Amino acid sequence: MFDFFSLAHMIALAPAAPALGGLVITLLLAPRLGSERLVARVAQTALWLGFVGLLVGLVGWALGPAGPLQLGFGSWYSGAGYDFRIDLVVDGRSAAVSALVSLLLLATSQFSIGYLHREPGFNRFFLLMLLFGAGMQTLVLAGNLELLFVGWEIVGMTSVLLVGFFHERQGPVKAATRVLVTYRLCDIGLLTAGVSLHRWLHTSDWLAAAQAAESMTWPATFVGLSLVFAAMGKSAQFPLGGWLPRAMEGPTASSAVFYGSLSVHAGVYLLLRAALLLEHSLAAQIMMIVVGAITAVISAMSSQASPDAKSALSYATASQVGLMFVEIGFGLYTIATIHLVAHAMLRYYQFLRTPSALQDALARRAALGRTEADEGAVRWEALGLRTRRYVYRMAIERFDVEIALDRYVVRPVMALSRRLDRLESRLLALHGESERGGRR
Amino acid sequence: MSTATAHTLFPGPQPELAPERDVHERVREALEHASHYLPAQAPLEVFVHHNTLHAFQHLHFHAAIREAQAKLKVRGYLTKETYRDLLARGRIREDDLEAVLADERFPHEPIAPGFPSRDVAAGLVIRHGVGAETIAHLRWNLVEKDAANRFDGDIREGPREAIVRSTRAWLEHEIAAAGGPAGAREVAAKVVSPAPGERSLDPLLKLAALLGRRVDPRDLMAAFACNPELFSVRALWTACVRACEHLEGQPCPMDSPAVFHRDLLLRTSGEDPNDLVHAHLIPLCAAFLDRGQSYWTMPDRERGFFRAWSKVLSSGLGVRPAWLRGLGDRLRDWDARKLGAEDVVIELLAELGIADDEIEAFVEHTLLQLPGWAGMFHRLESAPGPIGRTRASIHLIDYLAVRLALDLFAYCDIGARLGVRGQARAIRAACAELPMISGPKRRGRHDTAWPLFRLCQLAGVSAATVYSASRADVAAVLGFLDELDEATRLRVLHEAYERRYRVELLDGLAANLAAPAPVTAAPRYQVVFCIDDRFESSRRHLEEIAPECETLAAAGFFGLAIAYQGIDDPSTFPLCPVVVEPQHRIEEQALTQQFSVAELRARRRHQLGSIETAWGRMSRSLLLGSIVTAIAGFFAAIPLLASVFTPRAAGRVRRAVARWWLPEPMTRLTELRAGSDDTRTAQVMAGFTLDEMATRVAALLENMGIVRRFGRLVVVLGHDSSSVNNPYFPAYSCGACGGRSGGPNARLFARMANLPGVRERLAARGIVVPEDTMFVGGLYDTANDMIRLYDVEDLPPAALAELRTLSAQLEEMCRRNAHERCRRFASAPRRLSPERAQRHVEARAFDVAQTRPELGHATNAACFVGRREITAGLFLDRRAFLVSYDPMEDPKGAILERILLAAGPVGAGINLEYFFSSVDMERLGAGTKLPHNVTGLFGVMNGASSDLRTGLPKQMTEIHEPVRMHLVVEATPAMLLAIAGRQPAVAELVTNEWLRLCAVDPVTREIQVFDARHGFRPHTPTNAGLPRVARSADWYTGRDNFLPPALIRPQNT
Repeated sequence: MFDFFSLAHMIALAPAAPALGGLVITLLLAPRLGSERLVARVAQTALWLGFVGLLVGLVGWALGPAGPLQLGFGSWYSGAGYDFRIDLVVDGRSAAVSALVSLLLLATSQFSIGYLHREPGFNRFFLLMLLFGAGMQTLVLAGNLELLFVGWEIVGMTSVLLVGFFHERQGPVKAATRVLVTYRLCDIGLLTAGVSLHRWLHTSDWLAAAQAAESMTWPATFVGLSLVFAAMGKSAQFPLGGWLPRAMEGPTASSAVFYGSLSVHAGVYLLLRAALLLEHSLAAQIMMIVVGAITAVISAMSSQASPDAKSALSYATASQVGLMFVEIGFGLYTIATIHLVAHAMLRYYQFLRTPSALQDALARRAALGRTEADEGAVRWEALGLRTRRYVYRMAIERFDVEIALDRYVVRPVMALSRRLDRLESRLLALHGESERGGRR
Repeated sequence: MSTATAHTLFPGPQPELAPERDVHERVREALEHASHYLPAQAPLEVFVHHNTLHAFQHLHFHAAIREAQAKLKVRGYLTKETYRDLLARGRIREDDLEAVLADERFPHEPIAPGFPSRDVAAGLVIRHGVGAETIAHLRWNLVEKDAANRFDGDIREGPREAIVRSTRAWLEHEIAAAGGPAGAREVAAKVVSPAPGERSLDPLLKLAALLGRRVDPRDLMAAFACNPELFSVRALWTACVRACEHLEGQPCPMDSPAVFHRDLLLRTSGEDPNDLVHAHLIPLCAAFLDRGQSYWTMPDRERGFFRAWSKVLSSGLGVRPAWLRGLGDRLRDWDARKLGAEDVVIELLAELGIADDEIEAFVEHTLLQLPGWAGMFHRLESAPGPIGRTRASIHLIDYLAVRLALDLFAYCDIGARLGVRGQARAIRAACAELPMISGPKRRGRHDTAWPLFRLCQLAGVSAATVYSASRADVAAVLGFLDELDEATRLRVLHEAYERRYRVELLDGLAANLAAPAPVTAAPRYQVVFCIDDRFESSRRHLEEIAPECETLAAAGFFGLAIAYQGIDDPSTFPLCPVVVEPQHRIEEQALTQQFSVAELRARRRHQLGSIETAWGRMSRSLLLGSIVTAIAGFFAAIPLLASVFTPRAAGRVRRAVARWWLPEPMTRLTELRAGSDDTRTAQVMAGFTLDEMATRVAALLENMGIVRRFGRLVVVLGHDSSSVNNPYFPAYSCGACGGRSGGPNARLFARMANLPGVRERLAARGIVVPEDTMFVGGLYDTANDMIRLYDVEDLPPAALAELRTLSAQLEEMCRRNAHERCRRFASAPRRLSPERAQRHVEARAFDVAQTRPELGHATNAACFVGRREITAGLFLDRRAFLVSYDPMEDPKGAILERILLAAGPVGAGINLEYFFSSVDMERLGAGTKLPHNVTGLFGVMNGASSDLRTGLPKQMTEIHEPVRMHLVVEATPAMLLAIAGRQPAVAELVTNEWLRLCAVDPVTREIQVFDARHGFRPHTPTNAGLPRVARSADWYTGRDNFLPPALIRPQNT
């Protein structure tokens, strides 16, 4: 038994190997040694190593005693009654998702060697991808909320940098800023959840917290709502989903792995992890169901009306993720997990193939002997004109969620901050401080 | 140039001449005028190469680039850094530059007293890139590179010495004139002067600080001696600054002032109205033009974009963005008054305060904000091409109306934030009053003193000369420098760059003509390819493998303009150049005994198609989607991993499965129309009569010059390119067939030429094809280097036996060709055998991750029209189109005229599209493919919302050398000039130098080059010894860059 237990520790390679690979690439970049071939080889090695480590670890877990397995890798720091422990937890859920992450990263790496060939940002892409892999695996395998938060942040930062991959153009940078703001906003939720867990339940271990929550329900509600809020941003749920189609500014490969399959499911995974805790909070469950259902409907409709391949697919993704929220809200965890894994793989494949949209459409038309619209379109056209206009406007404007947010939240906040800024400079002027340049 | 721009922006008032035109008329004219400058790219499906700057083709090539630069803000040459690098690497040589400069004919007279002559100065200015720099660049040079205190790195020894010497003499003279030590301060002030903003230091102290030691006012010469270089350079810089002082702050002659709202608002507020407008406009444009990507199509599309847009925006509930507040009322108002798009445009123009004489410029300005989208509206309105129209009724005026309405609201929104209240027409006047963030450009040291200083250094002109120059002299020098602006300098450098290629090419040609390779006079086989540059290597390899084989080339539709429908096609598609309207319909039909197979295939294809369609819809729908994704997701892993990790094996398996599940029936073409049915009533007739066939077959054979010698087999190969995950696939296919496969044309040609009736008629025309000569059609896949031959089963046994020999040779040709292609793929293994090379290219064609399934026409730079003798045995590095033509069979030039009329515009179109897509990848090309997003099945955007990307992506053009096509024709200059005189389409390309015409005399073999300024001039070969190798592989193996021509001569000759 001891053997299997130590074997299971190999699972640490899953996050560690990509992180190490990323480090090696960074070191190679400094003296400008990073040739395409070398960087690709480092990335492949790191990811294969992580994959093998994961498989070995999973074998160890499977052959050991049944049930979740908590693996301790020491402590980062401790003091004042607090201990930042580096614990990984292996159970069915983390095993499945971790394997998925490993597999998709391997595929992405292989795909990108060809796809990004001769691109000026080749090395940067592989560095970010490896870091993303490390972050994602940390997030998945984390045994407590703090460690998950570390992974969560790495995933967020690398995602933002990959959206802005083509930073010489304006569009990608603006889109990346948008993603960054959404992510940071929702990080508040995760941070609040972590702090409150410690404040009221004195633990942040998933297993322990769930037990502790049984006695006190209102902290569970508060923590639960915070976690749902955090997940909403990462998984592009109503009303924070506006960043998802904008994130398609990066290379197709990163769009596929990040926003199509892995990153966008991180929120769902967070909720699955916290499932036992969330069960104690009706409010959080209702919120998940409501948010998920609204997203699912809005996004599915937007997907039907989207005239470009990547947006259509990203809305379809958001819509299914919304359904996963609903599933978790109803306590269907296994279904949600299966849904997550299968959905991630499918979307990944579909995203990689978005450049084929035209070839595929032509082939389909040829096979069906049609030259234009298909049956679905006919069914749509059969709707009354007024209904169609009504539905269409909702679909193409995505129920105006973003516009409303912009008009009723962003603009007032901006106006307020501008007013505060002016007030501040006037106060400073009273104190005789000169204004800094650039302000009027 | 600037004056020209200003002129078009402010067309002078001319009310007396023209009677007051209706404003409707004006808008229509303005739209018509502006639409010329929009990209003419068709939807992806029918991608056809064309001159990107076609709107400027009536101008001379270089003038057109200037004009385009001003109008479209695009680049027409490589960057100056690139040319500098090419000069340093020897890609542009000194003698190229000299030859081009000699042609420029700069006068040999000094610009001003003491300055070098104009021709010498021009050479220096161009070679060293002397010219206006940005202010930041000047500061960088002065602060970081200490440019005011030391000679630049590129100043030679001679000028350095001259400057120091002359400065010493000048200094001595000045000191003497200033009256000894007392005047030292004044003299020092001529050497150093305070920089603007610096407190005026004592010049002597400043000089001391620069020299790093005390300066004795009595002995300035000692100070000079301790650092003559610093002294001389600094004095020169000071002299130049002082000479140009009076120009500082003058308006810049090259600046284009902001005239219209958008630019004014951007410059005053820093906010771009386009940010607001485009986010709203682009998705709606995409939705409106969509050709089948979305399942829910936009309602009211048949009523035009403006109506559809206004209906969508005013129906149902919704929140309007703050900047569009009030739009609903306007829409209702327009609707109530029943205004059409044009009325709305006129109303909006008035509201924006656009005067009648500004309409043309304003409409152009507005449409060029999103050239890709506006261009697609225009293209689909005016020439939807073979794919036809959708239900949407597309008009550019609708787009303009929507765009202007949105612009109006965006301008008002930003204007309000700037404090401009009230009407939109007030915005321009109000903005002009406000301070600008980036105001109009002013002259300063960066574009006066600095270029002067650089020129003086290079020419060895010292402070003495500059100080003694009068203001008129300085103005003359600055005028000279302004005249040699960046566009001019780049033009000269570019001409030198092209000259290097031309010299190498023509020298190679001359060497080849001097010792021609033996070409078989009685070929056993003849293989006809497309004229495509990609077959240059295929033909070369085939001739190396089988000297008894003659290779020929004709435009890839083989003279057969047909509307073709294969057994798998849903409708007919024209297989001919896009400018031709096909008049004959050809169908592929299953043989009678194969009907059941065909039916099975059709049924199964239909089933598969339905499943796929349903599957695609379900995966995007809500509830069904969850079930589908949950189940199918796991299965997606199999094709995903297979196609990513082992693309070739996965591709082969997929193909094998497809072959097994979808058996291909044997088919025939419906080529023959009964001779009696000669009524020309129908627009498109079914098939050809025997007479029509004979005419076409004879025409092609005459074009290629084979009317007497026939081998036992004549193989005609159309071409196509297979690739996956590639929205640009038609751009790789046969341009002469509208971006489709040329296989059906080749097959049809062979079938026609084999018909006994056609043979009889040919014989009657004097073309006697031996009875045992058989024609075979085929398809050459340029991506995976594979050939498929058609209708082989119909061949007689003797021909079959011959074909077996030839097939083996063709296969070997494909392998070697793949091998040669691999040298240009950076991701192909370095040392590989021809067998592995072919596996590599096959994998590329199957690989979903591959953004370069092949390199297309990249590197194309020449086109040869003539007998194979002139190019046989010459290694042309896959850079030349080759057109078969025999001048001996064409004494009057009628055939040549036909060929040039087709090959000239087509070749130039391909060449110029690659040219402009590679010099300006972002604006004229499509940029990198990686973030591309297929939109509405007609175009690509970057990410989820951007302008439509037109031109070629970086992955197609990155290895291209932007060189205009060198059209080398085996004909006398007199005949070429006569043809150009008759054919304005050819003349325009030649005399405006959009292509460079060269003539090879059919008899004397003399080579002449045409130049718009000098006419035909003989080319004198400079390089006698061309490398000579036995096989192509000996020349290219191990080398992955451009290769100059070499002679390929088998060892035994």
